[in-house]
Amino acid sequence: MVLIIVSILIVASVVSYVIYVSMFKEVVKLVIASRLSAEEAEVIRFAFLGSDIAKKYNIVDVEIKKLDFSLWRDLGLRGEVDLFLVGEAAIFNSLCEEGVFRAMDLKELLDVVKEVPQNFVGYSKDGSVCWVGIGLGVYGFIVNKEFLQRYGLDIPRSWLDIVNASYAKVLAEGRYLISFPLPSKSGTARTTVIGILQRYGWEDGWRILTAIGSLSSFVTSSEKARDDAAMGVVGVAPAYIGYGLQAEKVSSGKAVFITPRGETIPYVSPVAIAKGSKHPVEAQAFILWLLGSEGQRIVVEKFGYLPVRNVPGLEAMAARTREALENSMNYNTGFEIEVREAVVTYFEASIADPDVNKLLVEVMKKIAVVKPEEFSKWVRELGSPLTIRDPLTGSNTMFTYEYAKQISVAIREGRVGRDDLYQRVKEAAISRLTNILAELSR
Amino acid sequence: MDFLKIYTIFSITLVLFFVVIPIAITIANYNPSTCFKKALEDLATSTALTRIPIEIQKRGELTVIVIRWLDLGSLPNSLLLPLIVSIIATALGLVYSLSMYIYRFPKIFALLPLLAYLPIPFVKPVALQIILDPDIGFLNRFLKIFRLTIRVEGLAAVAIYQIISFFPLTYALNLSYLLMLPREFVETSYSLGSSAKSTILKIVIPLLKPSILTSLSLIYILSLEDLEAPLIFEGYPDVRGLLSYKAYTYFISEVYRGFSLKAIGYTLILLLITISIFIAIAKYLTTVYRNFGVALVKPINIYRYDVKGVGIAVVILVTMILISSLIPTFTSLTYIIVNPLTLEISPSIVYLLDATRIKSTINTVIYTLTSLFLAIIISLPIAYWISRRRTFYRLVEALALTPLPIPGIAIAYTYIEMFRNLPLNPFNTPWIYIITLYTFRRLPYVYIVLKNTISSIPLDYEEVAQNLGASNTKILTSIVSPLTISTSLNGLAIASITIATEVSSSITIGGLGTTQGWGSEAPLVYMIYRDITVSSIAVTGVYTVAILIAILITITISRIVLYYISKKIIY
Repeated sequence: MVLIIVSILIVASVVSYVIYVSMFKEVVKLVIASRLSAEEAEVIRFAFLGSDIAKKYNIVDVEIKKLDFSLWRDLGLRGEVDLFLVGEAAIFNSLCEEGVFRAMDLKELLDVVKEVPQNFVGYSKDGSVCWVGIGLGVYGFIVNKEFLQRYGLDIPRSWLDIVNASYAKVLAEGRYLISFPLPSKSGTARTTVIGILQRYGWEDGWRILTAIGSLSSFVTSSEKARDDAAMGVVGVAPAYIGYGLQAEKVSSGKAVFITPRGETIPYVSPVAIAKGSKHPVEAQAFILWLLGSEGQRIVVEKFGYLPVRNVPGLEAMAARTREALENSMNYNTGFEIEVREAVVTYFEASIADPDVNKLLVEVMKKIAVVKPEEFSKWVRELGSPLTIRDPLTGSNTMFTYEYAKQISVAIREGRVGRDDLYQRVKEAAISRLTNILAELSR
Repeated sequence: MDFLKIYTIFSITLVLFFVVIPIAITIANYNPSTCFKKALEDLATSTALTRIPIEIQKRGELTVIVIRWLDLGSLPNSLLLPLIVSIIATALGLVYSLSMYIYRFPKIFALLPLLAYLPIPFVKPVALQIILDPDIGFLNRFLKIFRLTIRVEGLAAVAIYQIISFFPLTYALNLSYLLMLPREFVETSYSLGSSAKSTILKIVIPLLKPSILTSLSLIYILSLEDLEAPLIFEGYPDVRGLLSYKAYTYFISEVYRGFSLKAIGYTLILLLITISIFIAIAKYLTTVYRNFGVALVKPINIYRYDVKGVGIAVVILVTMILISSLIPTFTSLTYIIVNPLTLEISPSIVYLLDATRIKSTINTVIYTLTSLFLAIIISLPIAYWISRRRTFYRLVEALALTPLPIPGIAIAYTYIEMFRNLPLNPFNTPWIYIITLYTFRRLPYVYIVLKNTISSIPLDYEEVAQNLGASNTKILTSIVSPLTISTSLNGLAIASITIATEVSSSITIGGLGTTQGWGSEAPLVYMIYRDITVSSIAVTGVYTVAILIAILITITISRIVLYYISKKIIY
């Protein structure tokens, strides 16, 4: 009797399962690794889940996690995430080369990708589509007009404008002019640093960056920098246009997003499918939605991006970005890929390191007070690339562009530890700053 | 082997597996000597700025009082800051607790510091930052009427925050210990004609040595490991030079793979310092904690002087200490209703009803309750074993207290590294790791409460039961456990607050899973860390409400469940 009941139960379970499987499609939850802030992620998630595409593909949830790039590779290969959304094109290119992405193959999507300008699409070596841009944004900076007025300062129109003795006055008041995120923690800071090096050349670029660093309080996220500028704790903070527009809104106009003259960096915001994605078709459906009229409207409205496709009515909404592009520079992602590790390490060790930064601020205070007329001369001396003890060979070498390329490769290959390069740069920076401080005190 | 032995060995194995072994493996994998070397190399190049801590400057018609830290370099600053914070906080706590003990103060004075002790991670330092900002802070807006401004810079602001935050803890430790002392000591002294002053100096303070030392050492460790204030005041280089900040910010990066050896080196230095201090105070710790918190809500049954004469000066001093310690808490609470900077009505309630915040509050309640019950289950046999001085009880106790000095960041990153390749890893099921970390990081607090209660249960009960034929298992489950749990409810409530407001695991592993909507797996502390910045004032009040709700629900549920369990076992 028991055996019969058990058998009936088993058969009933199997039949129920077969009916269930045939009648209901599997529900899908997409997991996305991203650099979007929480509020931006929420907007995307909410809009997508209400879309027809989500319903058609039975996608019941989208989980957008803000995760460091250093974790993306493993998570993508292991299938812990389905998609990667927003970041720097240079990083997407590197990950594409490493085989972290799955080629897009959904016909509907590929048809749409054909309409996207080809410089907004990343291809792998075999010619398949690795990533596609969802919008074109710009990096600039936020200024707080109230803060600047308080200290009698003009609104800077470029990063170069800030390299001026008058802006260093705030240091004497115990304030910092700029809130600058650490480039190892923020894509905005990283792109801004690399953009300045490209715009002004290696040597002058480092001089400008050193002067900017001497006026900066360093923070661990671009959100914090945005909020500092919006609130008026500082006068300037690097930001992408979306954060700039948010700062304008929350500060009731006290903060303004500036697209710096000739320094505005245009960037493509990409999306890609993880190699190990458990839901590659649905992941592509998500991209299809992002490139569709609704997705494009959101990236324009909420992030301030230019759309990558012609969607009626959106062009006017993106007027601010279109205007910003008039101030833009030609940003080379290849340059970024070559020197990223070295530039980030050098910046953080020679400018942002707390021990170096406090000396740098002291030096800048003295220059602004004692020798404002010789400001340019001192900035030149302060910021020229350092000669460091090469962690690879032990010999002294100048931190040139060529050297930065070599040492970046060595760091990537594990031949040099990032801490080793950091330490050598820091030692050289402290030595130079101590000498300059002594010279200025004479 | 009887059940008690197996249960105790099981608990010890869990502590070894989830605390000791992961840390040991990470240290071994990353070659500790190399990590040390790199950290020391960095510290050797630290720079010091000789400057006056208090300076008066003139800015037009405005007089600016600048308060800053005497910058001695990364390592000296990291060691000196906790020293100064622990000395001042302990001194304030001592003055306050002795005032309560000697003078007949209204009961509210004894209770209000507990409100200041209420941890609201990240919200309270932001509140202080908003008060102190030279331009937008409301203290300076007020002082500008008198053409005066106070500017508190960098580590000085961190020190002020830590002193006013930790003072209530030192007060609670000292007063609890004072109330444990036999009242005859003091009353005999009075009846023999001693003044309050000589009674305090010659009798009370010498007797308070264990609680003073414990308070100094605990505050030192808490200040050394603190991340909240350094992350809020990170704009200043002297703050970014703190070991805890360096260890946290340099551990992982967006640009490189793997951990920074230098950051592991900083963590090892922190670990060495905290373990050394911990070993020195271990013998006092459980004694001082015996009545912690519980005694504060009880009446002070000792002869006390009326407040007059010198007492008036004491009242003024005590009130000033109390007000300063309550400022961040009250500012946070004010934001629930109104933004004190703009006097606009706070949109707290609207924000509070957001799905993510409701879910995170629920998550915190669930994680805290689960961790609390797990910690009780794991600690109970260990506490019993040690109370009854069974074999190797000193070693077992050391093991039970091990999580206390281990920096939370170190253990959280170790979990990510060690368990990242498992099918259930910190990325797809972070809640498992959050609960595990909460359980083991706060195990010592639960253990101390249980151990002290078990120690106070007369051995006769067990002997009678044994004579009547009860097994060790029966004694533990039917006599020791119900008595222990039913009399430890207040202590366990305090332990649950420390679980709900744990920072390190919450901000590392807490953000690895879903953090949106009803599917959010993040605890409340992670959401606070993510959302709180100076300009996110709107959410300051929200999180104050949310954390208070989470704590209140957790304490209520845990008390009901534990009370019910203890009664159920007895009957």
